[in-house]
Amino acid sequence: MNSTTFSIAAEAGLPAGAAALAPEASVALSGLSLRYGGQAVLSGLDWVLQPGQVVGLLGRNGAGKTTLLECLLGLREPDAGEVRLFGRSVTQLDDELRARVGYVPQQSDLFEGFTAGQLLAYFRSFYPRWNEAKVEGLMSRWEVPRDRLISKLSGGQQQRLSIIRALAHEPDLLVLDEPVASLDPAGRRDFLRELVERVLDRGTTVVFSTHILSDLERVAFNVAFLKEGSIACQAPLEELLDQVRIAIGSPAELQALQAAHGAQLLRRQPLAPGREQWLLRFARGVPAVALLQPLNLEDLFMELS
Amino acid sequence: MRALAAIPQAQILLGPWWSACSTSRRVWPLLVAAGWLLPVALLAYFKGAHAATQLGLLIAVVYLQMLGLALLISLVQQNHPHAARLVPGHLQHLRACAAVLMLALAPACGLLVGAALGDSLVWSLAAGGCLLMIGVSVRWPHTLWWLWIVPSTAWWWSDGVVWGLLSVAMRRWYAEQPLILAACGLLLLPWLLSRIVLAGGTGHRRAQARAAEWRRRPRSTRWSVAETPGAGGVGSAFNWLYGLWCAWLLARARPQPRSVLARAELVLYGNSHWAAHLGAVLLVLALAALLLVGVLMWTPVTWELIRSKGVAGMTVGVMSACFSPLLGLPAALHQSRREQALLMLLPGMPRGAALNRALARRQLWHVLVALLMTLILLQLLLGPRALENAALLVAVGLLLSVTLWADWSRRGLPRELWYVALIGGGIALAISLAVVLDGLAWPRWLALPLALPVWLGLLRWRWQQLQAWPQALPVGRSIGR
Repeated sequence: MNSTTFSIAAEAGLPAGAAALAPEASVALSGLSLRYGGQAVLSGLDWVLQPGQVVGLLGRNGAGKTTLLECLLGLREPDAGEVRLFGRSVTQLDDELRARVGYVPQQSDLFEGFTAGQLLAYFRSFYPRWNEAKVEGLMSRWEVPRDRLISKLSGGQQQRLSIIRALAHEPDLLVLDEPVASLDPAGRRDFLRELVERVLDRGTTVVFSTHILSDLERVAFNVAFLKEGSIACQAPLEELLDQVRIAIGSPAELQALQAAHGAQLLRRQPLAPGREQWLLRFARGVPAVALLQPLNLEDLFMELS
Repeated sequence: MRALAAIPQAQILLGPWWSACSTSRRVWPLLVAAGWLLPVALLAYFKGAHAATQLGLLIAVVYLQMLGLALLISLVQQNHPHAARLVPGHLQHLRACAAVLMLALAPACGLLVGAALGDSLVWSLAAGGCLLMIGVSVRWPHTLWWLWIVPSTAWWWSDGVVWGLLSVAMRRWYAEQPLILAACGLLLLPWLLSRIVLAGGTGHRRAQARAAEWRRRPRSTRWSVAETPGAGGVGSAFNWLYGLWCAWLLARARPQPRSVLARAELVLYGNSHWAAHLGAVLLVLALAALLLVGVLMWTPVTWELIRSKGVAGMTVGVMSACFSPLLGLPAALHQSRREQALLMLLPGMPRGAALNRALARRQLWHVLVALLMTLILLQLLLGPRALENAALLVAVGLLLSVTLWADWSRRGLPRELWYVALIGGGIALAISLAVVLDGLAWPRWLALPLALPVWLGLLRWRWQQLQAWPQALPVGRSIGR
């Protein structure tokens, strides 16, 4: 039973491959492809992030989220395609552009030989802008001791320190690879509050990958689903929950339903001979039809990733 | 082969060979072994068949001991505390393999050395003792210090009463009852070696954890700024210069590539950073000098005696300290690969070919300074007569330094075999050069000026290549592509 997923760039309203037409975008990826050996990790991926957008990147384990974020930052060369940050190619990342980018990698146990204070002093020496007051405030609020070796900090403290380091130079684009994975619920809530209060006020573009769907519901205004090497769907979360429904029936029934309400087909999956399950998005409002079932974020994750 | 795979002992002993799935990894040991034919052939040409046979036999013994090392590492890795308790017969099979290893390798080594130098039984026992020490240091790596200290202080204790009595008694036993001595060795050595396979439980788990930490620590980047004076621990004392250098760089940070790369290097190389090396070497020299002053002042030992008996020890010590950048930089770069992603996003960090060139230049300086230190230290410690061989070894070091100019985007963590190839190949090259120079009745220091044009040619070739290679950092990101 093979399923088919249809890619859409819903939020930006851009057709596939049109990333290059968005010069004002914070991030524009077009036709990005990358293979490991014989396996395609990214295949012709197009993605646009507008300034101030907060996007949660969702995908199953091994879907290529980290690879995508690394390509986005120019840390990994794709086989084909182009990445532009703030209108400029990531291959020509100059110092001014780098000062506008913050990155929190998946691993938090980095720079283990430094103390927290030494790590911050080390990074401060590179950046032209550094908000020491913000660093001090976050260090004290998140209870990260300055004089302790990073290897001696707990996983949560290491993660918090990594986030503080990434926020300290007040980037315009913040890329976070599973940033809350090591945090306890209280730490996650604090971090997300900080992200919303401090980062969004500045109009920072934020993209973060996560597996914790409840966090996504709390903070991400947009979600992007990475599946089979491309962005299967990106749209505001509320909109997706309001507009997307599962429909089960015969192909003829489902086609009639789609045509009648101008629905967008996101995914189709054969269930049995003559019966299929379609994932439909009703942009003009969901009709009151019995064969439609609502979805929560977890259902969406299962269907679209 | 299938029938062999069904035998548990064959599974245990041939595991490393079978797990080396790629053909290239199986071919490498054979290539290294073949490389040693060069000095043997050169010796046969210049000194005749007898000398070449002797060298060939000794090389074969070294290879047998290295085979023993590889198999013992594999045995210890397979000896997991859970498996020792829960897998039926696992412990017994592993111990039997260890005993068989001793029974096969020790007499084989003894016969080979005996064919070259005579006294096969003595050499068999010596080879067995050597294999036992290898096994002990594989199981309990921290004992390496003691295993190194005992032979390196032989100049002091070999003249003592206790060693004198023991030595006489052993010689008498060997002369009067060689068969009983052989039988004792035959029973005792295999049993002792089989004891490196532990039987599970708390002690085993503790030994396992301690060994893992011991192996991980020298390769990790953890010894760095934090372990500067005042932070406590042994590492802090050895890293005094690294800490000072780091503080100096941060205080004078500029957005220029030179300053940025110097700061990035602190993280890139960690323990293998030149300041960490130099600081450690200077501290060790200072401690050795203090000890020496004490020995010279309060004992009848003279500096001439130490120098005459300690030539080999001091040469090996200086060479290993000064060659360690060559061996340590690839592993350090691999260890810091995750940090490199963040470094590459820092303002001022060069990219692409510019990064490759800058990194290569700095690595080259690193090695050149280390090799220069080798010459200076050996000259200071042993006088001008040591310069002959030191120049030869430095020439080999120069030629091997070209291996640092590599496509780092495709390099993984160097495996044991890489070290064996580099060190083994280096020694083979040094012996070959020495044989040729001696054969031509030329001084050995000529190896250095002779190697220079070859080295420059190799550098030119690699320099052109590295400009076309993908950006070096983060290291290993293109493995598998």
